[in-house]
Amino acid sequence: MIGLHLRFAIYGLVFGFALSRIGFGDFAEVHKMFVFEDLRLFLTFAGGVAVSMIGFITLAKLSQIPRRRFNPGSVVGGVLFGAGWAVTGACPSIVLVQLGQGHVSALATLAGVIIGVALYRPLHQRYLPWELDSCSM
Amino acid sequence: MPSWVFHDYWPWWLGAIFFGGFVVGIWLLERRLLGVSGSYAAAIELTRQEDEAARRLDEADPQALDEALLRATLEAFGPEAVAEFEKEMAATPSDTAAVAAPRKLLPRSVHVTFLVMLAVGGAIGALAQGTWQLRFDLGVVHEALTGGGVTSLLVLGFGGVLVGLGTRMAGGCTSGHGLSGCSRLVPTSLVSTGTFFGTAIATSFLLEVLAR
Amino acid sequence: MSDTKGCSHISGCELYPRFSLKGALRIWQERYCNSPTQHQRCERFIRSNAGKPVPATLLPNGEEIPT
Repeated sequence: MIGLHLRFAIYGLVFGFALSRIGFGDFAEVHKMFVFEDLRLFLTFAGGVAVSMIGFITLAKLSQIPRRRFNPGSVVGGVLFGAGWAVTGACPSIVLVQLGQGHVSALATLAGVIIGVALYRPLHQRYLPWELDSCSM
Repeated sequence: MPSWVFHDYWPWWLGAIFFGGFVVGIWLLERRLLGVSGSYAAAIELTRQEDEAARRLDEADPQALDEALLRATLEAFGPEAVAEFEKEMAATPSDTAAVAAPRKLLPRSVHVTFLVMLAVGGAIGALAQGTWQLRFDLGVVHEALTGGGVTSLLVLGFGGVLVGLGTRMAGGCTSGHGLSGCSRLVPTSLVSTGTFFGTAIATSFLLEVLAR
Repeated sequence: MSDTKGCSHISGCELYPRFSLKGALRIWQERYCNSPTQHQRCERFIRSNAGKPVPATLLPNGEEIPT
């Protein structure tokens, strides 16, 4: 178990470090991407997808894509997340990077994220009309 | 030495290589796909019951687990029904394609470790660049766009709820759907990524208009 | 896109792949998961739709895998 913790600690450390050095932890940089003032971050992301794709094709069997039923949550959730990302500059990983970089106000964002995640199951059960595609997460 | 080693942000190709290498690396090392929103879900929503059950399943000796499953199956349906079923199955050739191996579930504490270290990594990144600074805002641009001061904090809190709810609802975020999903051309991920990027872009323009 | 047969949770279910590993275990899939009506009797399905936690060891008949 210690080994597991150690490995994932290193993964977190490396990913957080890179996100910071790439500039995703800087609201101004992220905003520049969204209003097409500077495409660097967008190219980073698109390039990352491309490199992953090549890596998956050459090193792993890409054919094991699970066929999941279409879930309206993909779109509705996407809209909510996109709006939130634009006003906070954060996605679930980046809010932690912001915090690490010294932005104390990111605690407000983090509190919101935690509340949002906790609200999902009860909200879905009571109000959302579509079926989940999994019993767990 | 290039300026991005210590001073500036990384050029796009370096970040791209890193992201790609990292996603595929995690897959090769852990047979898991990167997806940070999943770690939040595990850290926040998982009940102790679920966490313990996952750990028992994971730590069980595969042989013992097989026997336990078989025993439970016989108890559930009765030995005659099971034997009958096996006979039927032997008669008809198997048509179901091989299903992917069961996903290894990580204990909640490991997810928490990962999340905490994201913050630590961010700190080291900022320290390396010399930009680490304790501040109570997200920078001048954010302050200008969201009203500054307390208003900005409220926006952050509300925006955070949107991020938490939205990523949970969509079943992924920029790392999950974006990097891991799009690179494997998973339709749901492509749709979701397009949606959240599109919305973020539209919202950002809206912010600029409102701030004038 | 509605599914006229089978449980909608199959693609995310932790137990479903385990039932594929051995011939005899597939009886669970036949009697619960892949059936258009019987999957609604699955305890995992019922609890999930009620917003209750679903342990990874919970079998469709409500029993737990004795690990």
